[in-house]
Amino acid sequence: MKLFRKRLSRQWQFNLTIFKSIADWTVWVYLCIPAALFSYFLYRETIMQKQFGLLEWVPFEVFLFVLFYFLQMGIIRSFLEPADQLFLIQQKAHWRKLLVSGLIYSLSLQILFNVLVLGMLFLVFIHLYHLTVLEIMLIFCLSVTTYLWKQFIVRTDFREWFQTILQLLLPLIMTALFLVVPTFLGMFISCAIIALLLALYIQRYVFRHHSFDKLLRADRAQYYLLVGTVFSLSKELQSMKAPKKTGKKPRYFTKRIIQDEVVELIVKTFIRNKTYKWAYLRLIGITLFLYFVLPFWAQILLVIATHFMLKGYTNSVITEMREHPIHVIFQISAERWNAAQLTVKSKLIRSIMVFVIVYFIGVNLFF
Amino acid sequence: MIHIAIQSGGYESNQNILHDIHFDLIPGQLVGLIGSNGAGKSTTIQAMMGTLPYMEGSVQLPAYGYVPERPILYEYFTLQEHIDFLIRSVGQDDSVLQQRANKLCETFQLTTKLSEYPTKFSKGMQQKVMLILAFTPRYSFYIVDEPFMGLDPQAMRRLIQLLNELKQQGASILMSTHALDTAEKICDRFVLIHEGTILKKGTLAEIKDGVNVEDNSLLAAFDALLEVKK
Repeated sequence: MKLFRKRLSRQWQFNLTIFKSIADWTVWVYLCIPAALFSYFLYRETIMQKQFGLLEWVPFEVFLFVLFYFLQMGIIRSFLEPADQLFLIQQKAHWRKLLVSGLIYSLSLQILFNVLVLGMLFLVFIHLYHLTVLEIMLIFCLSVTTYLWKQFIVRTDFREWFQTILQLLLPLIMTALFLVVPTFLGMFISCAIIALLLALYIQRYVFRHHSFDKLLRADRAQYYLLVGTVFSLSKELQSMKAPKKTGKKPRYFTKRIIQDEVVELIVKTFIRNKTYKWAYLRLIGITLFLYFVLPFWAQILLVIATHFMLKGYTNSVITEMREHPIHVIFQISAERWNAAQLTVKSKLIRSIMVFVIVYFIGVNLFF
Repeated sequence: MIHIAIQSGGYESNQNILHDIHFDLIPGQLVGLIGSNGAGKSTTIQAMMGTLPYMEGSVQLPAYGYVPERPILYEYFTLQEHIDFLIRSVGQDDSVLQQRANKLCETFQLTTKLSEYPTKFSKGMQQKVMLILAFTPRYSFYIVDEPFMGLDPQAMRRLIQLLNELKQQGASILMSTHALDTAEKICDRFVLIHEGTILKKGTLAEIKDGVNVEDNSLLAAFDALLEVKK
């Protein structure tokens, strides 16, 4: 237990350090606090007022599938470290204690998380989908079953795409189980599966050592989850990552497309850098989706936020391009850069904002 | 003439790596910047280019061509786009530059690779791209940092020819290199650097002057000077 406590405390210290490294007062003032307030008011004005918006069009089966998929995200932590293959593996008692503690810790956290999510959706279940409390409890049991089953999938040697298919299949099976099997029987089956899966996990991973690599791989992925998220959020840290590989030659826009070479550099980089492109499309996609879900007052706030988000994103991406070491060779003056940056920003942001506003009006007029 | 006067410089404040680096670059001459690993050659070049975080002194450089120690390439540009961007950004006659770039691509056998990303090239080919980018525009001054690194013998020979042509056209060239036997043949003057300061500077004859060496090579003179310094 001492070893587990030590590693757990190290993990949280690590998480805290990572969080502190990005969350200075500006992040609190401009991101964390507004996001928290926005979420609170949104929840209060929608779900608590029984205004379910877009959810009213979502069939219960689809909602349940998405929910099960979302609730299986976590991983059972083993708290193993690479050097344990040399030392801890020989100390059976310590090994088992560490793995059992990891299992209890992860399962407790997951149960807490699932209860919290289901609790927040309680009114949706009751008033929109007309479920009973017993049925909600069945959803909880099935969500824990999905989570435990997933642990075996991620520790297999299957290819990643096949693991993804299996992970999609699991929530589908659970949805079918909920819809087909009577509630009491469903609860009995799901509790039996939970007990069986737990016993299997302990027998397979706690009492045997041959899966060390798989346990370590899964654990490391979870350990670095926050770091990975921070990396994908912070532009500054993102630049430390190796860029995603491009092909041998570009497929599109191989000729000169814009007369101004700096604007062309920005545009072509934007098109060819997968991280920039997908982050941008994700940002637009999520924003456009939110217009369907949010109440009117929140949509107006979102239009303003969209403008600032696009501006901030475009700025940070162009700054990254501008700081590329190639400019020791190309020697572009600051004035040229500023002019090109202004051109790109004004054209890109203005055109998208026009589209967003038209979309916003359209959503409110026709839906 | 370009006068280099670096009093001090380094990567962190109060931690100077360079001390009193003074030398001149004369039109039509190739100056070899010679020194062991970590002597301060690349730091001197960075100080000259204004990219060293801390520097005291005065260096006024005209627009220049630069071959870096390690290839610097843009991940999202093909070779053709690198050349095209350079041509458009230097502000010289586009058609003349395009002709020169084509000729350099032929010289370094990269004509068939124009539509590909140079980041996918071998190290030697990347070094050739650096040479094409540095020598396509016409400048009065060039900085070439370890230009022979990774080049095949044919490319080395072509580079030496190119440097000689530029010299004849009146350009000043500063070349940092470890290839002392080559430097001895092509450089007009030398600046020997050791521990961030100039050990000796001048022509090969001036370097050897007063130094007791077994043979007449630059390497022997450099070794002897280091021994004296110790």
